Amino acid sequence: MNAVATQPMPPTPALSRKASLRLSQLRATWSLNLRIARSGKRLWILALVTALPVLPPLIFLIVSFLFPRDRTFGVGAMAFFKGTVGTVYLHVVLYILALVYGLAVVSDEVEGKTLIHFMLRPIPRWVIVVGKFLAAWLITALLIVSSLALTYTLAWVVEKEPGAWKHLFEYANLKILLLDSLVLVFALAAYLALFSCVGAWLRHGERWGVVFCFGWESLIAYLPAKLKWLTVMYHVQTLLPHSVSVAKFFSLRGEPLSKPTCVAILLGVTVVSLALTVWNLRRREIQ
Amino acid sequence: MNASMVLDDVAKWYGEVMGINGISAQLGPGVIGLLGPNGAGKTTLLKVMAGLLRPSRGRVEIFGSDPRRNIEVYRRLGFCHDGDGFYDTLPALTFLQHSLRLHGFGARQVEPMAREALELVGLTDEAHRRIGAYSKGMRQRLKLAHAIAHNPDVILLDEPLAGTDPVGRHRTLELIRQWGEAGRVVVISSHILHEIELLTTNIMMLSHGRLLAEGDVHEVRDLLREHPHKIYIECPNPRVLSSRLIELEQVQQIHFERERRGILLETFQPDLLYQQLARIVVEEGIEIELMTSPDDNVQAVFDYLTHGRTEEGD
Repeated sequence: MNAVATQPMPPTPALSRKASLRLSQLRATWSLNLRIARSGKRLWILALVTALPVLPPLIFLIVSFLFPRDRTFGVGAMAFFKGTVGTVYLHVVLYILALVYGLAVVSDEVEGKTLIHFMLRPIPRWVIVVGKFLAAWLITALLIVSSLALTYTLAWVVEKEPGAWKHLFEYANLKILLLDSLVLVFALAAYLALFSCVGAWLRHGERWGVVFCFGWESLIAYLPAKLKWLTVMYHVQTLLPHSVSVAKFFSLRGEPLSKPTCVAILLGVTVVSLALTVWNLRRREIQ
Repeated sequence: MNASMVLDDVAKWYGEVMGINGISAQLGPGVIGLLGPNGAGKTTLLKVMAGLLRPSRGRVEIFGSDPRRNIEVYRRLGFCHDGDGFYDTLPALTFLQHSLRLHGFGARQVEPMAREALELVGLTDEAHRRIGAYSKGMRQRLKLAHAIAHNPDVILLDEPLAGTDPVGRHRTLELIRQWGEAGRVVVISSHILHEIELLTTNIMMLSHGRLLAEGDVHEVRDLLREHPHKIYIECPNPRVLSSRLIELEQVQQIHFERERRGILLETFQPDLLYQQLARIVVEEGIEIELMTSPDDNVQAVFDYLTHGRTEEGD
């Protein structure tokens, strides 16, 4: 009889060894998911979606180059950039990225029947969720930040004022780009976590996600007073360094929340959603 | 027995539907065949053992720990499951390396470990090929490599031979035999009984979610007292032999098989009959060409056990 096969389980490793093990497992989960995402078609499709806001200045630039005439872009660089952030990025790109990658954190593994590969490893469920979440966050953050940078640059390139592109590197403008990027990346975390949770708990998570983004988040914003605090978007808009049209409209009617409160709420949404996702995985059975 | 795995009154219900019920067993090192027809509850039992399903009642312990409560169990447990989900865009070697990293093995350790596992299942030449381009048999072998890459002490195999070609089948059976001989606990499920018979006489028989029998197949056979043992003998002069055998009180019946010069004996005391048979053969100078026990095997035992249940069910 083999002595090994009848030995009891070894004692739980010491705290420092355990911490280092968990870190290494987290890295492994993260890198596996990055590798899978990199080799999938989804990344390229979403890269195209993320490039949507770049299209107007890019098309204008190409048309101007091909058919040189005295035409102007019609809107100032920063006005265009801020407007694009407040509309296309916040209400289209952010939602699509978060929906696709957030829902995929758990539901992709369930549908692809690959979750079992994680469940049969000595890896805590929170490591699986956090590792996959971090991979999704990194990918979506890179997509959105590179798109923002490109939109910002092109907006200055097509600016009607001669020599305006020099303002591209002005501190005040770059600060807006940087802060907008930070807010959108932070918003991505909250939405990704939320949709991970939706994907883990609900069948047809994509339907619920679409209803949430384009129903709840959009409609409730038009209701007065404190109801809009129940949306994630309200807190994201509050954090932006410049007001967007919808936020400006409702700032007259609602009681504004402070920026630290909004940061805390978005962090809360992220942490609670991830915790619920972990809970789902802990009680999940693999049929 | 110093049990590596304990099942204590394990049941699993899917709503009103029973998956398995009242299963108790203690499993130690060696190969254990988990047998039963399709729908008997083999996969459910294996998944409960592996901690993938929560038992509705009872407890499962592997090395004294519940796999659903102590994830460290998975360091010593490998499961070749029935699913076919893989990350198809990844090459097999990369997939196994990542999988081993999830165990916490270092970056330098994982490549030789992954290569060794692929070599064991005969996929060395396909190590860099995308899993999506693998055939069904290759995917089955990759699942096996995935289950054993971390060198576990307990290996659960759910129909590991399904979809494999004859060469792959031979290789897999040989591997399982070696693991059993090395003292690992190997539980292998199959509905093809002769596959299991090639590996072990230690069996667990399931039918309709219940454990019909557990232990050595011959011991189980001996316990089936309502069915006489059958002994088939072929010799040049079966009439001479049968005339002597019919005098023995241990012999219940003798059937002649003229075309093959054989006789089929039925007895409730096989050990005594074998002794008498040896004496008669020597006395009469009979040359025995073939002697078998057609119902002292997994299939026969299974048939006897399930026949009763089927009739009950009917």
